[in-house]
Amino acid sequence: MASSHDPSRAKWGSWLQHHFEEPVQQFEAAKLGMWLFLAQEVLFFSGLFVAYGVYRVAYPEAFAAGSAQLDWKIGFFNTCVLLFSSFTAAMAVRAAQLGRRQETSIHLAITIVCAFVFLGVKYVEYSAKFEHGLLPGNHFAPDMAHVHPWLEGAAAVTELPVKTHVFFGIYFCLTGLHGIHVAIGIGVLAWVLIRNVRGEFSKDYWTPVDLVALYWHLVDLVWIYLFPLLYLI
Amino acid sequence: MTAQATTATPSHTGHGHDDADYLRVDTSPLSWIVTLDHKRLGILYLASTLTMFFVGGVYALLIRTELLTPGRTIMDPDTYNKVFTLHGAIMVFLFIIPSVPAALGNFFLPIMLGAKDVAFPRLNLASFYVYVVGAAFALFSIFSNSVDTGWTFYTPYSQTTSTSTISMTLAVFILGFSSILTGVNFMATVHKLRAPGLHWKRLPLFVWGIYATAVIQVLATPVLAITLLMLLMEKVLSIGWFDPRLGGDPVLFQHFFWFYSHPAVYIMILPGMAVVNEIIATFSRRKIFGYMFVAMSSVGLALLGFLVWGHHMFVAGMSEYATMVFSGLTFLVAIPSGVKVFNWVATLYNGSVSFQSPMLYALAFIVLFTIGGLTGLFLGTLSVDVHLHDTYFVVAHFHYVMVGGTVIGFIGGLHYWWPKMTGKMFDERLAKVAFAFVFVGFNMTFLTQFVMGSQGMPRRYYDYLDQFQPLHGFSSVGAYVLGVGFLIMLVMFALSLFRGEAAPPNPWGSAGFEWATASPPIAHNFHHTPVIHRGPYDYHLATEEELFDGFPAAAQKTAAPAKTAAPAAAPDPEKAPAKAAEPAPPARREEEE
Amino acid sequence: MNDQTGYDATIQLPEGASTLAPHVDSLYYDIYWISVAFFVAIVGCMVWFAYRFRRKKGVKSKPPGHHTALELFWTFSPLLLLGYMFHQGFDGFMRMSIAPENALNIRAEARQWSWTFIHPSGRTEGEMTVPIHRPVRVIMSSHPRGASSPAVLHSFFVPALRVKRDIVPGMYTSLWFEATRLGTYDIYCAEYCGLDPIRGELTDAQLHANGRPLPSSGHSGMLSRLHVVSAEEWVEFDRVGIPARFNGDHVAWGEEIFGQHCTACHVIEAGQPATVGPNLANVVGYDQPLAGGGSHMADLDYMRESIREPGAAIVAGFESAAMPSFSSLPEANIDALIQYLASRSDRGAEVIAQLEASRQE
Ligand code: HEA
Ligand code: HEA
Ligand code: HEC
Ligand code: CUA
Ligand SMILES: [Cu+2]
Repeated sequence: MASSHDPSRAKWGSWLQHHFEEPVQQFEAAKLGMWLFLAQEVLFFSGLFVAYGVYRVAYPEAFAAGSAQLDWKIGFFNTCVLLFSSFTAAMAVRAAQLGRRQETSIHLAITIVCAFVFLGVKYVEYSAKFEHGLLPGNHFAPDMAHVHPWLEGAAAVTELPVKTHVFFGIYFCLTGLHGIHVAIGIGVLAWVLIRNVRGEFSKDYWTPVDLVALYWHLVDLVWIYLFPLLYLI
Repeated sequence: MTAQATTATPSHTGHGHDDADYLRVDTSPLSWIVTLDHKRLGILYLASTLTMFFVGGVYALLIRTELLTPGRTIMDPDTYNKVFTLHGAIMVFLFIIPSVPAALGNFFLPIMLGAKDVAFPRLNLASFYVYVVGAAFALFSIFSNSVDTGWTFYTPYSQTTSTSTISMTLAVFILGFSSILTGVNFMATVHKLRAPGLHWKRLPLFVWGIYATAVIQVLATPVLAITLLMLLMEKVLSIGWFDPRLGGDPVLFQHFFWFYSHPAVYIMILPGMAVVNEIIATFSRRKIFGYMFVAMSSVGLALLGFLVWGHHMFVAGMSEYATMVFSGLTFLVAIPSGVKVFNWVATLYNGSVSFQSPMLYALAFIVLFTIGGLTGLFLGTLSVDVHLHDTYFVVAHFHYVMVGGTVIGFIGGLHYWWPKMTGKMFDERLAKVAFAFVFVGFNMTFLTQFVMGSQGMPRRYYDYLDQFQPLHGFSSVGAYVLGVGFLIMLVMFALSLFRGEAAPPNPWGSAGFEWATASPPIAHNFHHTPVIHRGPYDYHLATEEELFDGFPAAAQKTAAPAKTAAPAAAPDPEKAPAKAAEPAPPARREEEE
Repeated sequence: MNDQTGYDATIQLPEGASTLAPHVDSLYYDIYWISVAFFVAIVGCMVWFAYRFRRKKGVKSKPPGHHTALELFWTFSPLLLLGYMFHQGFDGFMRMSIAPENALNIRAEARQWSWTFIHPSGRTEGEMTVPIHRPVRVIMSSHPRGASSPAVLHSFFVPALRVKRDIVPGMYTSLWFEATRLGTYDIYCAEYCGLDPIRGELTDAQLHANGRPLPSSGHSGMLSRLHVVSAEEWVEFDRVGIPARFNGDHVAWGEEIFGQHCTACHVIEAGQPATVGPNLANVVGYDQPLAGGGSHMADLDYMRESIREPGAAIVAGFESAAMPSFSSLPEANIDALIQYLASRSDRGAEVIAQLEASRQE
């Protein structure tokens, strides 16, 4: 029956959807749905991780050479940025649970800023790779002047191993897909921020803040795997 | 009993506009396009998947017509390759995967749970639109240059063909997300929206089946999505993960593809089995034998299904060790399937069996699925599969499980729930005639193909050696008989829609929860969240009258808790303990099974 | 030495002509009878129960009680049969995988839509000739059709031998068999390998002839034959090159080679419009207009060059299409091809005479 008829529902805000009996049920359903979605995301990325594993085993030298072309310092900086943003996302949830609207907004805003910083750094990295011809597959045309040696003690490098283009294919796909997730994250975070500013959330209802933070942790988690796999080992 | 199974708290008052059924609350076209009602979405999916079935069926008839005679019969080789690819892709991605879960599941899952809707109605609508966008991409691909890769998109051919594979892979990628969203939604719904008293051991087996399907949808489909994305990337950027010229491995693509597509065959069959459970219980008036075993076998199939993908690649160049493991695991899948078949047959024993059209389809399902499943064992056997791989034996195997299994189950479910969904009865005689054509035509078409295949006729052949002509010819004639059967069925349902008698709420006399609603159900399904006091198959709690004449009390369209016909054996709802989760005493005996 | 142990086809399975066939067939029939038993039991019970317990007025159904033992029984007892199938199947598969040491190595090259078999002696043919009672290992590779088209998947399948193996670009795969019966058996391509969509209307005769699909139908036309011959005949073939089945008829041999490699692009019927390449009827002995002006007499040397190095002189009107080189074909095969082409020209007599003469030497 439509909720309006039911006096027992009046004590909850209009955010309680008609097909739920009570807020806890709605919250738990939403949370479960989000976890399932995240499980799906993990499997989505898994295909690329498997490809990484297969070709790393097949072409160890090419992967060593490719990895050496990435600057681990930049990668580390970005890792820190993302870790920090995950922390602020968690703080935003806490603030929302306590009903501190302004604090929630600030934390969300910091998270968004971090996401932009991350993408900006990625942009710088990408453009360097583009300039040096370190591109996937057929477009691979390395500018040897900018190639870093990858073996201890090797003086000048004249040639990259033949399959290095596979490394860069995988590098661009993995970081690209991750980057798309960051960009989507910015959109969703911004939307939640707007809703928070409009005062749609309260001590009783902060599910969207919680969900967006969960999503953001996943984005962070994926990067936690990407960074060592691509930059370090 | 049904009317009482779902009792309301005594506090309810008048019903006002809420009593309008879901079809009539608002009849404007716009209200359908933006509807959040799971029942309407179910109907939208039903209409779209059935349309796709007919499109795929027309392609099937084109295939069979071309194969009627050796050499050219009606089309070029080029066209033939496109026709069987589109037949496979449309049937799999646009028809069979969304068919039972998204159409019948959407409609009945929440009702069976005693819920007003699925957990995320807006996501539900979104997933329908994602499906439509995917279908649009598929159509675009068909009309631009079509695709000729086979539904498996194997590399390197899919990289080199000049047909429009890009839009088709995008279409399948998008359709995958529709499937994932539906799965997420159903899982959350089953976990969080069960009515009070409806604990896991009381769930209708349909719900168990759809739940197990949803698990696979959520865990397997993303892998297909990333695989197709990788295929696209390869095509656009020549990355080199599948292309041997760039150092890639074409067999890796096959691993990725089957990692999804084997579990996907259980996405197809589990819902079919789920429907059959409901039909058999209703028409033999008996709880499904070994309820818990049947429920768990669905979950078992869902999990085991993830471990056997390699059986599609026995001759593709895997290591002997890998083939051994995959073959061994493949045989294990027979166990949960067998459990289901045995329990269905055992359910008939001591039942009170009647043979209306839905039941005929359910019995046909048992016969045909058993043949399809048993022939799967030939294919799982390594040395025998070397001979049978990529022959018509495989084609016959998968049509027996997909058409003889899922499609027959789906059609059976459509007959079974038609009165509930539309509020109209259909012409039972015409339905039985259609059934006869479908059953005979189907076996003519595909039994022949087993023989052809074991004799060595390879699949995906535009043309064949003259020696196969008699078998191919017979198979094609069978396909026409099958087509006539479906045409009669189409007419039968159309007649029912326009001229059918009004359906009572419970025309088959089922004890299932969904039959306690009005036919068609009201917009919110129930006036009040029902409290469940017994299982959906507790026929022994119903009176003689109910068993033979249906549930007369429920015949009042208002579906108010009927006080007139409280069955003697049932606990009086008024007196039932307020704590809903407490099962009624007679039901408890059942649960220990 | 040449006693035959193969056997005829049954309703379900084709004739068995290899040492692997009896194993595969007996396992096939074991599974078949197990399946029949289960099917009869299941459907029999179903029909009987449905009839016996059909709805009658006044008779109620009885709720099912406890049957855990029964459930466990039918959950676990099938494992025995399944274990049997698995074990036998794996056993046979291992036998198929490991070729005997002394096997004869024949290479099979697959390209869209033809087969080339290369014998240890370098003899090359489009249909495969093997000796009876001798293990043969087929080493397979996939090749591009033309310079610009990539290689794709194929699969080598001989039903009578019960063998099949995919051919994957970029790697060698292999299988082995030992034939046990003299005769001719069909070879199929069992992995979809598509079709080149850029072609004109095909006539029925270009798609299907002599009861068989032709290469112009793509994947389904990628057929060949396996000839199992006696050991003596095999030795003789290995010596002279022309397979014994042609009785020394080089035109017939040439026709076979043409069907194998050339019909994908050429028609050879006077009056027919050209497809990818020129119509090859009445070419030998005629002046050929060349791209960029001029012309050349199609004599023996010109013909050999057109097949070995097609790029050297391009026929006017066909500048945009490229013909692949067939220089990997042995000389004997190319000569047989040319003799066949000459036999399809009303001015071919001279070239035929030249070829016959060169063989006498
Ligand atoms: C609904 C879809 C569906 C279902 C349910 C199944 C079910 C099974 N399939 Fe099938 N299969 C397909 C759809 C499906 N399949 C498709 C589409 C393809 C081809 C794809 C392509 O290449 O295009 C395929 C191909 C395929 C292959 C690859 C063949 C090849 O290409 O060489 C194999 C090999 O192992 C296989 C095996 C099985 C097995 C063992 C089962 C088992 O799950 C069956 C279990 C059921 C039973 C066994 C019957 C009932 C059980 C009993 C009565 C118990 C007692 C029995 C005994 C102990 C004997 N299938
Ligand atoms: C759910 C999946 C599904 C379904 C339902 C079907 C249904 C049918 N299929 Fe198919 N099939 C596949 C999935 C399916 N198939 C797949 C995956 C492949 C592999 C493709 C590949 O190799 O890539 C395949 C391949 C395949 C082949 C092999 C082609 C080849 O290898 O060369 C054949 C050949 O006979 C065939 C036939 C049929 C027939 C006769 C039906 C019949 O059951 C169809 C019956 C339905 C109808 C006849 C519709 C009724 C319509 C009318 C009567 C017309 C009325 C029209 C209007 C109202 C507009 N199918
Ligand atoms: C992939 C397509 C293709 C295949 C396969 C092919 N050809 Fe050609 N062929 C052509 C094309 C295109 C030309 C015209 C261009 C040229 O002369 O090189 C041609 C030209 C020729 C010519 C010259 C014709 C003339 O009029 O002078 C001869 C002879 C010939 N082919 C013979 C053969 C033979 C013999 C085979 C098989 C062993 C064969 N071709 C296979 C495409 C093909
Ligand atoms: Cu080669 Cu199919
Ligand atoms: Cu499978």
